[in-house]
Amino acid sequence: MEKPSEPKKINFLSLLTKDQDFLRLMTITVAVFVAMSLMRPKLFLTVNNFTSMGYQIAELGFFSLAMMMVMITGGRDLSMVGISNLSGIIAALVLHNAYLKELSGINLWISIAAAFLIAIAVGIACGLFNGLIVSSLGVPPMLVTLGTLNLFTGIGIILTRGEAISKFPAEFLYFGNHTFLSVPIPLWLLIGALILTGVILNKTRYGFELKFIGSNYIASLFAGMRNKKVLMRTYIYSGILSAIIGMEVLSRTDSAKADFGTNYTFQAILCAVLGATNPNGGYAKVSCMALSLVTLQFLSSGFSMLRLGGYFKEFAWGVMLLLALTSNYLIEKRKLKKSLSIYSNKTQKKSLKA
Amino acid sequence: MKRLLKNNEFTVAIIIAITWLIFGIVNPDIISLANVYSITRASIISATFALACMLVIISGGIDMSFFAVGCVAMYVTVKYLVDRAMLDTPLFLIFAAAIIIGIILELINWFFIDKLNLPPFIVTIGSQSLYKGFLLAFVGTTYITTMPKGMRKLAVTYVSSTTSSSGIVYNLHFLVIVVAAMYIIMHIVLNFTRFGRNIYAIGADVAAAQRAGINISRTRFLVFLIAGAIAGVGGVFQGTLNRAAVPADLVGQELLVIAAVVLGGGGGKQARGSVLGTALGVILLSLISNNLILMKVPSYWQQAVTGIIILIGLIIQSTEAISKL
Repeated sequence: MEKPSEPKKINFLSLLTKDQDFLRLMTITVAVFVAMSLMRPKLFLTVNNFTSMGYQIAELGFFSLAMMMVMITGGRDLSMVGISNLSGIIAALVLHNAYLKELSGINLWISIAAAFLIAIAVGIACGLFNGLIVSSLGVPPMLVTLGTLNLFTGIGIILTRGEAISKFPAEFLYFGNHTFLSVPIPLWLLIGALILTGVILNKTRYGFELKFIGSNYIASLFAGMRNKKVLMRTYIYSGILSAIIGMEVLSRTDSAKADFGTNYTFQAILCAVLGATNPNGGYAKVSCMALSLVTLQFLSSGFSMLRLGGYFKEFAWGVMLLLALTSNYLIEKRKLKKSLSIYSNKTQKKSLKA
Repeated sequence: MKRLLKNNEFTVAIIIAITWLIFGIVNPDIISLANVYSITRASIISATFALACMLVIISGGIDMSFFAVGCVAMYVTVKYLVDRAMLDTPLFLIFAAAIIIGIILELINWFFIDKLNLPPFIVTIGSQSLYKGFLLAFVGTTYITTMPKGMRKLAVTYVSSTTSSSGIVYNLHFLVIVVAAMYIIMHIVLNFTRFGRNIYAIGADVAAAQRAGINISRTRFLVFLIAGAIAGVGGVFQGTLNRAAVPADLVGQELLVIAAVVLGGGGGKQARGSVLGTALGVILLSLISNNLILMKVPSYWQQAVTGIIILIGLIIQSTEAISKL
């Protein structure tokens, strides 16, 4: 994860001075990195460790991106993992078929491409379903996506009868298990998604409207924003991201299961909140999210190396989420105080002059 | 009649009646008293926790940590007693200890949600992970099967019993009565006390409630205190009915309880949940989840059916909201 962040170094100094959130996260990331390197230098500072972290980070990264986008609208998408598994399962049915028929050459590649397209179509359909209900019914997105999580997972269970589907063509398994330029392919996908999301958020009309809607839904409605359309697109985007990572999981693990990775929802929320996303909507930053992702991965691998079990991790994630929320709150409060005090100083000076 | 149709509880009651009827036609055993007894026993746990969750939802928040709170309260209490061989401890002391632990844990939620004004969903999903992780990492991961005597006795206390057509004896569990009493008390508190009306008021509009002179912070404090107490009680019920203390075995299944509250009218943007609606929601969900097998529907359909029911519940409520405009 160190390498891809290098091209950003050009405007690093200006970022450091300007962006407090980024600076704060950078400090945390570096501190965690140094701490883990000091505690387990022989295990942590190895190429193998970084490669394996690269594979692991991709999944959480996609889910966190999807969660971040929905969080900007002030909602939560709890059905991401369901969408990812469902699209993985439907693609798995196609690919398993290809494996059984022992397809090769052009036919094989056609079926792999078809599997990808079908998975993404499923992601779009699920996202559209979420978006339609959320934007037209006016019920809290959290409850809607809790319901659709059960629905999507349930459909997945029905399709697989609760069992795992496995055995796919080796050509398909390649992309989840190999590196390109010594960086894991899933990580390349994540980097692409991060850049794309950053561009969408900062350079497009949709991104602008998205943030506007998140900070004030009614005001944006009066300002002539296409609220429902934007909400719909956001859930579809989240669905597409989930579907892509569903394919990655399928390729990496060589199996599709309806209840894979249910922990990711919570970790994605943690990652987004730690990455300075405002859970009430309206503000998010891709660079900060990427840093918090790296921090969490360092910690997760570090905990494993320190032989602290999964239960301890769960405890630590809970503590971290509450700490991140609290520190965001305190920083906001201080900012508010500062701006208020500047304001009151000005008014005092004015009154003195008068 | 028009008023009745617009009434959410009435809609859910009709859905229950129709489901029951359809189920009964397919498999007559479902209408038997024996089946009623087994459904009530199966819904004791979710009914208890639904009460805690409903209270928080009415006050405008959401609680994802109630199962974790209940599990910690029960497991810590039982482990303490079993480790010190104090199996003769009277039942009310066990409940008291669990209630105190439950209250402390829910008040931690209250602190973050009310004092720091943080989003309830994210706070409680964080504390859920924290409590569960704490329990499993620092308290223990083993199943305790030698339960205190009081709990063992409570597990086999029945009010009445019936014999099914196949000759198996079904019992109406004593705790069903206790849960029913809790529901009645909660109904009275919510509808006939100032505190109860205050909860609805802050759930509907915090700013308006504040201007009406309601002490928001104190009302929320009491809400989380009561929710914690109920969660503690629910934890002990769970240990009692399981006849074993299993750490964190319910955590992750909060959805079913929340679904019951939502079906009962708690899902709108503005708080509208009611005790009767929640009770009906719990009954509907356990009716469906317990009887799909008797209907010869494969068990792997269950999750999809639950999801569809939640969505239907949400859609019914939103059309009501539209027709009110």
